[in-house]
Amino acid sequence: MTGPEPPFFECRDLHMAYDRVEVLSGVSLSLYSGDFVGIIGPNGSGKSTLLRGLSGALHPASGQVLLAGRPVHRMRARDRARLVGVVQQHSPLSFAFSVRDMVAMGRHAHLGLMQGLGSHDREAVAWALERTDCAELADRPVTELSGGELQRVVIARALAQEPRALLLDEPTNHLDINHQLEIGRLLLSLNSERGMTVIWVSHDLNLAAEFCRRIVLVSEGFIVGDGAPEDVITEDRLTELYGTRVPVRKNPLTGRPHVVLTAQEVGAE
Amino acid sequence: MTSLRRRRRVFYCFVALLITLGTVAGGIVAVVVGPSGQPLPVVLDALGDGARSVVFGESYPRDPAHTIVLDIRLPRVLLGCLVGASLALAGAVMQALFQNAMADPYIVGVSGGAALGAVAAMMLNIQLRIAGFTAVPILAFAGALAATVTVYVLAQRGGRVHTATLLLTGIAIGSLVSAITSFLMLSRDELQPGVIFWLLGSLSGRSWLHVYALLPQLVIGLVVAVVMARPLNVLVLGDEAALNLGLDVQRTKRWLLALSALLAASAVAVSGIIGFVGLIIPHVCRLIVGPDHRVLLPISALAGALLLVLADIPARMALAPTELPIGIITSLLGCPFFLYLLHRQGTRGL
Repeated sequence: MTGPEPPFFECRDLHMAYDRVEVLSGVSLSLYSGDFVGIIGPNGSGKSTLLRGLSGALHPASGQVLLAGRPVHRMRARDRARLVGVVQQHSPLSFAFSVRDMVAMGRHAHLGLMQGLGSHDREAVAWALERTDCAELADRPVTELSGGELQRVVIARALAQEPRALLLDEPTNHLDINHQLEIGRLLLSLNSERGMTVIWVSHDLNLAAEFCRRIVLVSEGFIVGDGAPEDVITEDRLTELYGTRVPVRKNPLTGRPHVVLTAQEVGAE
Repeated sequence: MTSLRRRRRVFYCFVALLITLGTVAGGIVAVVVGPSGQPLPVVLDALGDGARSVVFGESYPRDPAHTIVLDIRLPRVLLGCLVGASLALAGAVMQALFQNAMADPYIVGVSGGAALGAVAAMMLNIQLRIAGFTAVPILAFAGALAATVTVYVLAQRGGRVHTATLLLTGIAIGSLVSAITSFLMLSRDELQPGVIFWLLGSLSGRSWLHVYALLPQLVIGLVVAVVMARPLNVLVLGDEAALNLGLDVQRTKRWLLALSALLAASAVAVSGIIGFVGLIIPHVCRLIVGPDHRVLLPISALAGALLLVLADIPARMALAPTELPIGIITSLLGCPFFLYLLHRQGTRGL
């Protein structure tokens, strides 16, 4: 008999701050292995900061983040990187590595100092390239890629880490809708086939509603909603949060909530 | 795909071989030419004798030709190799650390501190001898390390060092130190030509002692460079990306910074502040072999050696018997070549 499964990520009264300006003000949250979670909220609400807290990139001002039961900011970077892959929002690239070399850097946490790529490492890199449709880009320099291609390469690099969880900060930003959907579908299949935990920060409510099983709504440093998309993405709550009334309908194909953007100002019904 | 990788590897070896051959050829020319020209057979003869004396302990005739070749020109050529390699290696590491194309080996206060130390030694006429070295190299070395440590300590915030803070602190301390240096220089006009000559860098009058003093640091530097090449590749992706990939960013930076500061300080102590090599050579090499530090670091070291060996020939010969500071030559030689590469690179930039 096993007890209830412990959360993969657990925030306990988490406060985060940049230079004493508090961005997260006491967040408690449990995210479980195999979850597909969307973190949404208005600009500046603290959703990216929450993600950086989960990844251990930013230390908590107070409170704790536990990763697989251990305080994340006390873990060695190496141990964290074997569990969690992160796709950051901005990936500054001034060095012209090839796509393959770039993705191979995902293996860093699995290699000793002087150790070269072994056969398993090469397989992981090839798999990551293939899953993200980057195989044909492999010999191109990363500095010459389009935004969509680069985003796929960065995801491939995180996949090459063979992490158990993937944290993504606005991975579909600035991408065409076909690429947005491709990335969403890729994450969905990684989640269902490999049981990979996906934590997806997005400001695109419809995309999050469509793909995520659970939505965490962040506003002004607090969690103000947590649950299934249809319970969190509601007309009343969005109106309160964004300060403008937006109609929420059901996507006729999937039944998921769908925020309708209209030019008309919609009054309360 | 695999064949492409193999072709690249062959290309890297070819580049390394070419630079090495160039350095050896340049070194032989440097030993042959000079105010008292030594014909090639005499030089080769002397070199052979020297090699035998090192390997088998045989003695060689103490004639002027042997002395000039083995005790004056050969150590100077070798010192040029070591200084050039150290500066280029340190520069390549600093550029990766700072993710900044303007970074050079002197960026965290090495040059300013060294200059202050050396100028103080000359202006205040400090008498000091340690292990055969006079006050100028000793104080230059001490000044360089002291300035680096000061910059690092001041740039720290709660045990972490941010790259931009480090860069700006380096610039601030650099100008503070150079103000003191200028003040010292104004105090004794008659010594200024010598000071300026030192500040521009020179290999003149250096001996085996200087070669031995720099060699261990360079060997350590090369070993660490090979070991740390992959972490360095990860580091240039940015601090947070590197952390997310599993690199202990703060510790890696600390080690690499210490290493390159030590290399730069040692090079400056024996040769003065030779500019350009540590800034431009890594860029040139990156344009030729790409950004992978496993290749870039050793190639940069080789190319740095080549540039200084070549530059030292006109430094000795152009105005013979007067010597020119080698820094002038490195800039004159390197600049057009670098601009050509930059131009050919087109819009891609560095």
